[in-house]
Amino acid sequence: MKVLRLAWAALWFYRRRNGLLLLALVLCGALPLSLHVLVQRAEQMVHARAVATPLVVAARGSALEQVLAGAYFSDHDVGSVPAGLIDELNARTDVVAVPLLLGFHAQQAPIVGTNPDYLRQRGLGRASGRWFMRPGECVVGADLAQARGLAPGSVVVSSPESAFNLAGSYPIEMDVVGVLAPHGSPDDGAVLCDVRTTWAIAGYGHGHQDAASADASLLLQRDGKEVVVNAAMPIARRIDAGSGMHLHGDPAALPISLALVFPATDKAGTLLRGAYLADDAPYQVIEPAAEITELFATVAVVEWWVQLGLAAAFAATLLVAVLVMTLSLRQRDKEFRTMRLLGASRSRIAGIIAGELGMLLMLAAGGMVVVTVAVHMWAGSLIVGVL
Amino acid sequence: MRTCHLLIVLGCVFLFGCAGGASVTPADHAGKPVVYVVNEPLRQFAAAIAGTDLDLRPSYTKQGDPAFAEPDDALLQGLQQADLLVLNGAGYEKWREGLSLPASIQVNTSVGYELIATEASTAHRHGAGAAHQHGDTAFTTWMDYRQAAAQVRMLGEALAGLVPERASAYLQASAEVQTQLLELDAEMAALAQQIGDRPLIVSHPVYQYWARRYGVNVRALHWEPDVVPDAAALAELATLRDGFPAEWMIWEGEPLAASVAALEQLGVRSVVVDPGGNAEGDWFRLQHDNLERLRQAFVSGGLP
Repeated sequence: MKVLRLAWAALWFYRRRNGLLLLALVLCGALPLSLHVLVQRAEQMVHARAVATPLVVAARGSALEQVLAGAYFSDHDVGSVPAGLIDELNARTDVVAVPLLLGFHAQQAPIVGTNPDYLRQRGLGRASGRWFMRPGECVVGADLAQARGLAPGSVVVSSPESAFNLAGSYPIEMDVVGVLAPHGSPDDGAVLCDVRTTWAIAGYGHGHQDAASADASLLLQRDGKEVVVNAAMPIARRIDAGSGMHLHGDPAALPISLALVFPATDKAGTLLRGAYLADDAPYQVIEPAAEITELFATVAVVEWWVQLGLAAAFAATLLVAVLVMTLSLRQRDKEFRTMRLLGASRSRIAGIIAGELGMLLMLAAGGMVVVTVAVHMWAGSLIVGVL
Repeated sequence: MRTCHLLIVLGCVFLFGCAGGASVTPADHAGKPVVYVVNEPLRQFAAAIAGTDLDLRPSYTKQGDPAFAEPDDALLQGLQQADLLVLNGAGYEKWREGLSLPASIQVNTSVGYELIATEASTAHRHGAGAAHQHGDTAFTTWMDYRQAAAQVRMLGEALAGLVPERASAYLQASAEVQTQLLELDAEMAALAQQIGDRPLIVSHPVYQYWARRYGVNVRALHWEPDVVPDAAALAELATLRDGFPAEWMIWEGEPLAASVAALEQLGVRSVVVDPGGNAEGDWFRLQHDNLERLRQAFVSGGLP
């Protein structure tokens, strides 16, 4: 114990030098560990989400971007497919097709236009309130509700998507009718609403007073069978019973970003993939799990090379640390001679030095563990934020 | 003397796990599958097919026309969590249009049936945009008993898919109900032949499919059985009969005696053909009663 006390006293006496050494060792050692933890965690999370999204049917384009959009509501431009595709897919009795219309936000939170099938298929539970029942209503994820203090009765407003095209999307006030239970997924940070609400945000539908009885100042033309309104007609910011919300155009032709498809059996999924296999098929059927597996196979190769580089850096740092310690021991020669004169044996002095080194290494190891553990704790939020 | 510094022992281990809370699937049910139906014929058909295997619930109340039901939030929450929602189709469920319901649980029993469009509302457009109007379709599809049989077939298949272990029993029961409807269809067709192309006025525009299927010559008013026609209504009737000399009014429900008397003064007699959208008793019994009343009116005693 006396040896350990003396070792600790020496360590503390040279704390600035030892602190810098410790920091260097912790950073160099924690980096490869943390990187590995991040990659493993990302793979687990992304793969879990991909497995929970059996198939995606979307316009032809980057399959990976469509998987990320469908699973993580990412902002990639994934094109669009007509909403009638949902009916076409649901006509197959062995699959459930769910529409997603993306690209809108309430500040940074993604607004996801869908239908209650999404809630059922994702197994989303409620912490409070109820599911949305009508256009103009929404439910919010647990994290979003906590961050903004949202609860049933709150209001969420959609953001203009471009400062240079304020007329391109319509701010719509949505009533929060429910808050989701935590799910550990991107749904925790999202606003989920009926797809018709997002069509209203996009401008494909809106609410206004009855055109047939509107004041003449709001009209360009009125004859027996047709009424033409002008731009002065006020457009409702809310969708409710009094807003007269209606869609312009056949709803089946209006766009959605993609369809999530949940087959009842593997055979149903295979048959669906086969139906859109031809090169000239208008849509593509993507298996998210396969895309993510391929992605992380590439990531694993890259990670290996990066780890090799970090290992080399760690080795170099260790060598520098050894050099620093050696030089330090030489500088303390007078101190060791004094200890000898006071009666300390060679073995005791060696024990003190070994104790210093041992404690330093243990502290470094401990620091690496702490950093790695912290990364592991925050990995989830970090990965979801990046995606 | 420097204060001794204690050695800090590292080795805390934290437990980690995914932050996901337990999620309750919205459609978790203990017990029977929950099936909602939108009108009384479909409810009785479903009951005839599946008996007490299902938790069969109406989306309407006993009062009023189920087509114009206005489900409250409690009912809507039930609908969102149901296992099956059986629709009549043909635009019958107007209340559904503004609501968010799971598409996967809905089965439209009129898919593939040739629908009849009714008069559209005023069209409007915004600036140079495309014109659009809010059109409509006739929805009393089950008054074409052959179509009703097709609806029962779809219903049977949907219920068989919902409860696979009872599929063969449900399909067998569905076939029996279809047989009953086809027998009704044959009876009505035979009766309609005897009615011929005599002009008939119907109190309400709910007989389009019946008229088309059985070749009956009808024009519609918009009268209610529980409202005595006023002068304006009678004038409308007179206008309608100008060039269409109908001598019979077909009512969708039992009319008031005063209404019957007012019509008889104009030389128009009354007969009830109740579609039974919200029938209180047995729907098949009701249709047989309709046939009997028509037979009495046009065959056994009523021909002018």
